[in-house]
Amino acid sequence: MDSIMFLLNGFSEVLTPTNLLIVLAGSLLGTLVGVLPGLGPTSAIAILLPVTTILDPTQGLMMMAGIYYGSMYGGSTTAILMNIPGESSSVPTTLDGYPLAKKGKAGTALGIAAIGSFIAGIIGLIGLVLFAPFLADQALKFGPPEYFTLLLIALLILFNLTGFSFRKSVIMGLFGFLFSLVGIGITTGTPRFDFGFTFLTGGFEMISIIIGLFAIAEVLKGLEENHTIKKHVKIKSVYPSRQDLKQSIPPIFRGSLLGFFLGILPGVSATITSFLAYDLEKKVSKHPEKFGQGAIEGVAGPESANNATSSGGFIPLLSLGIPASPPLAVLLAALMIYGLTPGPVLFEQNNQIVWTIIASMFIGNAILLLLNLPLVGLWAKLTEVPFGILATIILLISVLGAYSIRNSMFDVVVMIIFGVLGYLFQKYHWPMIPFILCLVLGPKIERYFIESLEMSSGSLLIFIQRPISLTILIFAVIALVISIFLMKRTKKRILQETGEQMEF
Amino acid sequence: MTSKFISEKKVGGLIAILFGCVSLYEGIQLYPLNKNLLTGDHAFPGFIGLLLILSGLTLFFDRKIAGNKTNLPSGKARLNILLSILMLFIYCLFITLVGYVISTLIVSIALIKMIGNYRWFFSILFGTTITTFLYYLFIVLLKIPFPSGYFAF
Repeated sequence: MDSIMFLLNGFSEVLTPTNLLIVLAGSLLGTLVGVLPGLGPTSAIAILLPVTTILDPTQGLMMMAGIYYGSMYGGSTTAILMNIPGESSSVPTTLDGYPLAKKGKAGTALGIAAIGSFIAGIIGLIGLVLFAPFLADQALKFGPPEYFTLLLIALLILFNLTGFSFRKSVIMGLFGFLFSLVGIGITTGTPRFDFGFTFLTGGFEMISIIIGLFAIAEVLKGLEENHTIKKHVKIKSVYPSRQDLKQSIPPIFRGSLLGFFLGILPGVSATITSFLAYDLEKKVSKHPEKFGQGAIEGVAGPESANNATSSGGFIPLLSLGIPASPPLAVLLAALMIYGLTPGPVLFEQNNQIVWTIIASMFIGNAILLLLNLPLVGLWAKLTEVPFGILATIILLISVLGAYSIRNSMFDVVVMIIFGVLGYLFQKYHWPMIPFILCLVLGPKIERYFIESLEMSSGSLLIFIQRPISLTILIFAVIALVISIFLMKRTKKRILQETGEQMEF
Repeated sequence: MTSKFISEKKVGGLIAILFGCVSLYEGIQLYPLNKNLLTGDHAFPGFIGLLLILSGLTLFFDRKIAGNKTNLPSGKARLNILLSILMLFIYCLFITLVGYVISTLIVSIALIKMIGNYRWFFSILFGTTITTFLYYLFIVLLKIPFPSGYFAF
């Protein structure tokens, strides 16, 4: 009941002209970046984060949430119109979305994707309102050993999710840890890994690294591709017919529930749930032979599952401080930049801010549905922006954005170097997700580890002697087994559908 | 990098071992500042160093060579990539020397000309538009104090 009251209070904060404008701007900006081929939610949030710094923390975070939702929505536009999945989680959408577009039903597919994303987003947010405060309340009983176990296990499970070699994932994670250690040490205050250079004393700015790995690397990758503009399919009406809606509503609800409930389990990503939703729809359909030829259920189910999982990811993020995916890792970094500490204390210390952000997500979802259906034509036009112009804008905004975080040219140089590295990582299939997650979570894990061992006078047994910590370990083993099974299945499905390995 | 001797796994393994050694060295350097082996600023650099060396060694001596062949770009694509990277470094230098406005204008025109292969007229037109837009966004709106260099704008 308290949650409902807090949420209503949050709505009263959001429903002011300025705040509504901020949510609107965030949603539109996110969609704008999301529809640009090659740029996904992670790059969108990283590039636009510096732009939000002129706002106060609540408004900045409302905008970031809008950017996240908008870019998720934008990804489905290129998947349907151009058969380009911006992220691996959009692959199932292309399977029937693009055939539908070729049949002249692009508008219907985009409309159903928008409606599905809206319903799934709202279901995910209801889950967030119900579960996150409860989980945060339980997590208040956690001490440093429990947090350390939880974070370490979450990372191990997420490493398994990359779709590439587990050993490479571990090495990339360790590199992420290593870079997070550069700077002032947490116990003695002594600089670490500075090698006598003052510019290393402040450590690496994680947003610069993320912009490099995602935005710059994506441009470099684009430079070697042939950029004859791929014409998108013509769009007629974006409003689905009554028949289309009737056909799509059950898949939307099935996809949303599947996406949300599986998505809150650690180690189950949006890619896994969207493929599961697609296969589920094919299984329950009376005409499975229509799948792959342009079945509207093949768009409704996976798009809803994708969005429900993404919304569900806010539960561990806000209540435990654990990001389930790279865009959420960047959001975690954004929360920290704004001076908030994601985790159980967030609901106690920054109650008003958190509930205002959650309320803004409801409004953001509604804005996306209301605005994006009429604007589908405009978004489709954006996919035709020539690469020469697009790449230049991305490179310049990345440089200026990286500089503006700490007004430091060192951060820009770091960003460029990581851009080159990101390009090579993609070329040689070295997963970047473990690197990013460890880079963001590294300092937290180190702090919890040291605090735990100080509590136990140096005994490592503390991690299995405490009942909650032990329970987390047991759950982790179960989650890991489920995750390995689902990951193998999804890896096989991606290979079947695209003929290539993808990081998810 | 598809040869048996310089496969990406071997290169990755070697880099991991190298970074692991640096991390371990840093851990050893920091150890005297702390009382215990497992608590202190040296602990994580030490762990990470050891783990990197071990993982690097297993990758380096892995007999299985990855099946996916990777071809690095060649010809014009490679030149474009290298020039773009170079241009970004030059941009960093230019901003500190001649300030935001002139450096952004020059670099944006050069990038558009190089990547998009447009005529000079269009490159200058698009470059000027982008520079103006970014000026309003970062300097007027966000009030980021970029270096003004020799020319103050």
